[in-house]
Amino acid sequence: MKNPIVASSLLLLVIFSLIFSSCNNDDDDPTPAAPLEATTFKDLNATSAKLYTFFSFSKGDTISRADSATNKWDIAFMSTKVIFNSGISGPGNAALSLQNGVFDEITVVSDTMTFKQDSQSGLALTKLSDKGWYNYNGETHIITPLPGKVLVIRTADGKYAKVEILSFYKGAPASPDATKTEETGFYTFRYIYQPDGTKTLE
Amino acid sequence: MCECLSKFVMFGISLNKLMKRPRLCLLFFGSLISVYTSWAQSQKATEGKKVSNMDSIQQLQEVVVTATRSEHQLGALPMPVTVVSGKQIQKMGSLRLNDVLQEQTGLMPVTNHGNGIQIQGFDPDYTLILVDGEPLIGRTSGTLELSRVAVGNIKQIEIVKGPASSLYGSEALAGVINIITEKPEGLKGSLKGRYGTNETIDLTGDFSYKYRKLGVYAFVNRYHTGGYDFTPAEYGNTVDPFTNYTYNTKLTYDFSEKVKLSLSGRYFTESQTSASVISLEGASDTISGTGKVTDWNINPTLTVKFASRFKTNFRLYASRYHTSSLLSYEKDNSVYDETFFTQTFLRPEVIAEFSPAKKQTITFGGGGTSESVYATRYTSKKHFSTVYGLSQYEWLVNKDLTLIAGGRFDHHSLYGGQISPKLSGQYEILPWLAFRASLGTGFKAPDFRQVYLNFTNSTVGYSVFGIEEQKAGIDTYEALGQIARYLVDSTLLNQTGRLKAERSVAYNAGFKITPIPRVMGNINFFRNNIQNLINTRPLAEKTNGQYIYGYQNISRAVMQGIETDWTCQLNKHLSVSAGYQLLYAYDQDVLDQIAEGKIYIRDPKTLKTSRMKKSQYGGLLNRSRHSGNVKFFYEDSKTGISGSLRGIYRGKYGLTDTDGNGALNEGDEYVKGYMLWNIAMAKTFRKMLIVQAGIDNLFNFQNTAQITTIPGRIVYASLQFVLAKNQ
Repeated sequence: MKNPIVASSLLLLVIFSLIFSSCNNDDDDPTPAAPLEATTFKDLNATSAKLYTFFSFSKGDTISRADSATNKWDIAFMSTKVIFNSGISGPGNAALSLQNGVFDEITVVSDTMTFKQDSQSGLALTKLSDKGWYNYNGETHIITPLPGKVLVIRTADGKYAKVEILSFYKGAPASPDATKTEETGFYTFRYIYQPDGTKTLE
Repeated sequence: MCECLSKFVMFGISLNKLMKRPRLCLLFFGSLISVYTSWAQSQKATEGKKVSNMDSIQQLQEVVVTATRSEHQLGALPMPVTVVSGKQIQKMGSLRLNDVLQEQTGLMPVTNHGNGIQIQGFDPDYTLILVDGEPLIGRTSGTLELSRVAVGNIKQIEIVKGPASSLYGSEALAGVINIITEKPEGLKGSLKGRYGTNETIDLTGDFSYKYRKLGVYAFVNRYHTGGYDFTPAEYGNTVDPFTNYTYNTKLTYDFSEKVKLSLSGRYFTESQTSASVISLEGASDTISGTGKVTDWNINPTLTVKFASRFKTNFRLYASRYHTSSLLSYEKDNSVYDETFFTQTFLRPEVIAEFSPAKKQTITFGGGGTSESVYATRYTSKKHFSTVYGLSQYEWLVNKDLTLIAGGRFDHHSLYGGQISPKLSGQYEILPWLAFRASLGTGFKAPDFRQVYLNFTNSTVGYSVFGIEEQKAGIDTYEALGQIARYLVDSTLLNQTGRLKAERSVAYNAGFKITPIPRVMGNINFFRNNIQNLINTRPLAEKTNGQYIYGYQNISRAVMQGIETDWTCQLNKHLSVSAGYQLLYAYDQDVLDQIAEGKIYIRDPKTLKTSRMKKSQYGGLLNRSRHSGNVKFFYEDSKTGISGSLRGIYRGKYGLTDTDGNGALNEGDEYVKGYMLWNIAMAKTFRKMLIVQAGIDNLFNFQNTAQITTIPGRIVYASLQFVLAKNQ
């Protein structure tokens, strides 16, 4: 084309029509899915040796221990022990499917995932080193969350979330010091909660 | 310019990169300069004269027997062999076998239920330790405690790297270390006493006499150490005091030129007192007691030369190893733990050497082994027996080419047959350059522990069963209702006797180089593919939350790398050597999982998790990628002064998989690399009195948190009277 103005006008026209048509397509979708952002919860205090600290995904925070017998919590922590609001632990219908993978890559609760609840025969998430969420080093006494373990969770009221535990020490230091017992037992974890009841986790 | 020196400087620099301490570097370069100066002087001195290759040749002419089971000159062998002479051991001032071995290139000291040695990255379980060609028995969790062996009666140590199962059968997977002891000779005897740091007292006496047909050799050693303690605030020692005695005799009688008899025996006994604190559910108690080790062996050998080209060795070897330990509570003397362990070994063997033609040698033979174990952790006395046959064909094709082909067949009473072939060859490309290569297989039959162990830890509550015991053991706990769940399917639980021997295929190839007079070196590339490695694996979870473990063939590994050694005779008195090993040791299953993206790694700073890349994998724990040494040996027969200075470097190695992702990576716990310097000097007065003094670990290196086997600086002095000598 010889005339640059004509050429660029035509190009603009094409671009506009493309944008216009794609906007139309969007309008056809009834619910535009806004991507869910991962939230990092820092230093959940689970230092008590006798009492659990309860957490609700819908609230995005810990809840009072007074509500332990209700459906208000989903997951609870006490030292290295993690329980879910189900079976022997609570009245809810929470459950866990422990997955191997990268947090960002687990985007949907697939049908192949099997969920376990806390029962007499065992907790959904074992408290043993290397079998559950952490590794315990017998020499340094350091608790390290196992990389590549993603907790896909059904909440007490049947919604879904995914969690990656990042640290067991206050402030999530790069090299924790196990001798500082006052800084041990603080969970830092990353999670995505899907409030709409679907199985999409992104 | 001297090629030897430039090569040495090359190594020096690569070593220096690894050294972190500036003062060590200074010393290192200081020594280099002094080496250069003395070299330059010696060059001037020998100017105009034809420099002979004497010393290098001498070294290549050393006769070794381990690599082929017949006497060969070191230089003619187509596989990597290291020889450490008794003279060299004396100049090092070493007392126990582990002291000597850990200074050799590629031999890494490792501690797991005893002081053992890694060869080409293999755990101590996979190296056969022989004394005069017969195996030492008595391993704890696979490790043979090397400090059980005194070095005062050693003529030379032969170290063959790479599998030698084609000649020696089971256990010779990584290599063979053969300790050749002194033979009766002339009329001589000596008494030696030594005192050093940590109340270490060593007393040695030996006597040697040969008169016409009869020869007698006797050796006695007493070794005592007061041990040491890195944590004085805590009750108990890091190393408890112990005392041991070694008695060794050898009688030889030559019936004729053609028929010779040798009878040797060894007796060893050690006792160690121990004290420690145990904590159980908050309450702690002090316990103490004594542990005893005794082992003996006896070895009659008859050598018959039926014809000039036909020689036969009839050998019988019997050995027994016994340990017992009794630990009691100090508060009321009640028994905390009482154990014993008894192992026996009996082996008749006939090996013949036959030369059908001038340049061909055939070695063949066979034998049988009968072994037993009876111990606290076994339900009854257990037996193994093996019969075997071996043959080897050696052919000097022409003056440049040597080929050796051999193989061995072992039939184990429980595990059936194993065929171990090996092929090796050497080709002299140029008068100063030879290429050698070998291809061989090695195996290790399942040991008593992996087959018959029946152990339940009464305080913690876990159980470990050998493969023959596991079904009965699990049934017992099932009947008691103590099994919470099974972790493997029932076909695996019900199998008995299905363990396979651990096997490796090894490739070794390299060059032997004598580029200029007085310098020689070698470089060897190695790769070992290991299959069917036996590991423990949890089979079931008990209701108490503990596990029942069994042994299974579950892992594969790859060990590969480069080893190189260089020696340079600088002048009549001083020689210098340098060695280096590069090692890549991987768990093959981890490599596969990395390739499949199944291993994850978390950045400790950003806390971001990603899939591990192969480049991030640090390999097997306890393996140093880099290790090396530099040694100076000095001897002047005129002044009677001799000595040595040795620097031993061990590069960083992984200690624990801190993040529990199943693979070693940065961020996991590593032990920093370190260098040890040992020095020893001796002076002989009137050929009768030898005074020696030395310092091991000159710069007092310690890593009390991670390495409990390096006690810090050891200063010692010794006095030796040579009672008589036949010159």
